[in-house]
Amino acid sequence: MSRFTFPITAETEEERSLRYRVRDFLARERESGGFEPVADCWISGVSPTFSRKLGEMGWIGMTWPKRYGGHELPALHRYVVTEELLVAGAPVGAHWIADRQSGVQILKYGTEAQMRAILPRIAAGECYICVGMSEPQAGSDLAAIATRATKSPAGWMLSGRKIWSTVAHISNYMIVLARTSPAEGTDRRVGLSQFLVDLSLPGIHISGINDLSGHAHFNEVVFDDVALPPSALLGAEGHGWAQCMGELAMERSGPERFLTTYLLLERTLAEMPDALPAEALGDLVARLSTLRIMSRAIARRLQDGESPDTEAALVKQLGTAFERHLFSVIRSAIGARPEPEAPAGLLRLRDEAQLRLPANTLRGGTSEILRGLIARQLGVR
Amino acid sequence: MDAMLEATASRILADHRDAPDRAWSALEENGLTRLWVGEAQGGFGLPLGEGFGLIRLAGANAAPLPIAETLVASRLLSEAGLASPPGRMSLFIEGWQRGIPFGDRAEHVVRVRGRAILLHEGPAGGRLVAVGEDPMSDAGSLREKAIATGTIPHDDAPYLAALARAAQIGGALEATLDLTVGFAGDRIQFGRPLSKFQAIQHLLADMAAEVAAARAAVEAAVATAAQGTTLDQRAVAVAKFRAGLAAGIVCDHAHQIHGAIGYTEEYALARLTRRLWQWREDYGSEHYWASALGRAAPRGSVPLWSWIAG
Repeated sequence: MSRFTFPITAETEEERSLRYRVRDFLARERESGGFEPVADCWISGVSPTFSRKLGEMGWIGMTWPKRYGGHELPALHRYVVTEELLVAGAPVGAHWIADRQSGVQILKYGTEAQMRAILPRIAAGECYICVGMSEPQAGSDLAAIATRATKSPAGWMLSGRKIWSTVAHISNYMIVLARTSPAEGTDRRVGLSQFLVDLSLPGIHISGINDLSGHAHFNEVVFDDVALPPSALLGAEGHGWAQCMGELAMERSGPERFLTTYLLLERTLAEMPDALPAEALGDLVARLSTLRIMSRAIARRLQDGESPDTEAALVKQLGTAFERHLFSVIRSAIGARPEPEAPAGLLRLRDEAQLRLPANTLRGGTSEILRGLIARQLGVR
Repeated sequence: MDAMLEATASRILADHRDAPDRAWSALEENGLTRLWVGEAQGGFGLPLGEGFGLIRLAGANAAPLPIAETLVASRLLSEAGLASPPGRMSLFIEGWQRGIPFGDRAEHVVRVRGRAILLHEGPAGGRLVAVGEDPMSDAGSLREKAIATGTIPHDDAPYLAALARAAQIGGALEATLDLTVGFAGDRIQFGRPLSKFQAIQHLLADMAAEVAAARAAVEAAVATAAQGTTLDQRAVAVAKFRAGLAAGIVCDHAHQIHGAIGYTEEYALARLTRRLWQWREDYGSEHYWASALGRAAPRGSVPLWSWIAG
C-alpha cells in the first residue's frame, strides 16, 4: 500500500510558454548586467531592484487573488517560475520567503486589512518578510521557544529573541512564533501563537550574523518589550504550532531544496565538458528528474487545497541529500586532475558551493527532524 | 488499471499465496494475463498506461509467476499481429538478458531480436544460478524452430520490459517497507519495540523516501504511455534507474533492521529482496541506464537544463 501521494502531472503548453518567457527575461537581465548568477541564490542573492522587476512581470504572488495584487494562476505556474529563477542563479533572496510562505500565511490567517495592506506590496516585490521561529535555545526543538507575547490594554507586549532569520535586515515584517499561554503539562505545542510583526516598531534590534564564509545573510532579532497592536495576532491565539507546521510544508517542498547547487553542474559541463563520466552525469540527471516529478506533485496538491506535509518533508530530505551528492560527484570530477588544470572561475564556484553546503540539510528542518516526521507518518513514533 | 480488475487480481494473489499454480489459473480465467491483448483476441485490450498496476501488484506479492513476462510477451505478439497462445509465457530479449526467467515452466517463450519476434514452445532447460529466487533457464536451450515469427513495429521492447521490471520493483519495495515496519513494531529488544529506537526510525524513514521516489519515477514513465501508445524512453530510463537505486538501499536497510531472521530462507523478507536484487539487474541496471542518460545528455553545447526541463 502506498503511504504517500505524488500525483503525476505533465507540463502543459501554457506552462511551457511561461517557462520560455521567464528564460528570455532572465537571459536579457543577465546580458544587460542585471545580475551575476550565484549558487544558493534564494538565500545569498538579495536585490530589491531585481525583486521589483519580477513583481512587474507578475511573477511574485502568482497564485494569490487579484484583489490582493495576485494573479490567480495555478501553483504549477509558480513552480515553473521558481525553477527557472533557481537554475539561472537569479538574485531572488529579498522576496523569496514572503512569496513562498509568509504571503500565503497572511492569505490564510490575516485580517482583511493586513491582506490589503501587505499582499499587494509583496506581489510588487517591495515588501519582504522573514521567518521568526528558531531561538538561541530552541532550534530543532521548536516548541522550546521562550519568546512570549502577553496581553496588554493596547494589544500585546512581545519580548524575546529570534535567531537565524534570513533577510531580517532588509525585511519589513517578521512572522513571529511566540508563547501566549503556558504549556499544558508536557504538551508544549499548546499555547503558541503567530504574530505579524512590523520590524520598524520601537524596541526591535536586528544584528547580522556572519556565516562561516563571512556573508551576513542571517540575523539575530531582539524584541525588547515591543508593543504590538491587537491586529498583529496572525490567525487564532493558541494555534501557532499548527500554523507553523503548515508554513514549514511550504518552506520545504519547493525546487530550492534540490536546485541550490545546480549551477555548479551546468558550469562544469560548460567549462570542463569531459570531466564527468557518463554514468555520473546520467545518475544526476535521473535523480534530479525524479525530484522534479515529486516536487511538481506537491505543487499540484497545494493547488488542489491539500496539505502534503509529510511529502514535503520527503522531498526536502531527498533533495538536500541530492545537493550533497551533486557536489561530491562534481568535486571528484574536477579533483581528478591537479587544481591548476581546472578553470579558476569553476574552482571558485565549487568552493562557494562547499561553503554553503552544510546549510542545506539544516535550514527548514534538519534531516534528522525530517526523518522523525516521516517515521511518525509510518506509525512508528 | 480499472479498480475492479485490480481488486480481483489483489484477491487472487492473496488467496493463493502458497499455491502459485492455482493463482495462475485464477488470473488466466479472469483474463488478467492478457490485459494488453485486443478484445477480439480474447484479451482486455487495455491501453499501455493501464496494465502496470497488475505488474506492481505481482511485485508486491512476490508472486513466483511470470505475470510481467506474459503481459509484455503477449503485448509484443499482438503488436506483431500474432496470436498469444494460452498459458505461461516467458520473454527473452536478446542482448538484454542472460537467461530466460521461468523458462522451465513456461509453455511458450517469446524471443525478441531487434524488431524480429519469434514464438518458441517451452519449456527451456538448463537452470542458471542467479541472485533471484525465480528460476532462470539458459538461453542456449532455446534451439528449436520457432512456431511463429513476425515483426514488432517499434524498438520499444526493451523499454517496455524495463518499465515492467521497474513497476515490479516499485510494488516489492512497498511490500518490503510494510514488512519491515511491521517487524520493527513487533520485535522487542532492550524491553521495547525496535521501532521505538531512533536509529531504526531513521532507517525506516530513509526506506520510505526511496520507496516514494521509485514509485513517482515509475508512475511518471507509465503516464507517458497513458498519453499515447508509446513510452517516453528517457522517462523509462529514469524509472528503471530510480527503482534500481531504491532497491539497493531498501534491501540493505530491511535486512539490517530484521537481523538474522531476515537472512533465513523461511522468512518472507528474502522472497522480496532476492527478487529486488534480480529485477534491478534485469533489462539494464541503474548503472546501465545512468550511463545511457549520461551519453545522451548535452555537454556544454546547450544548457543541460533545457534538455531536462524542455
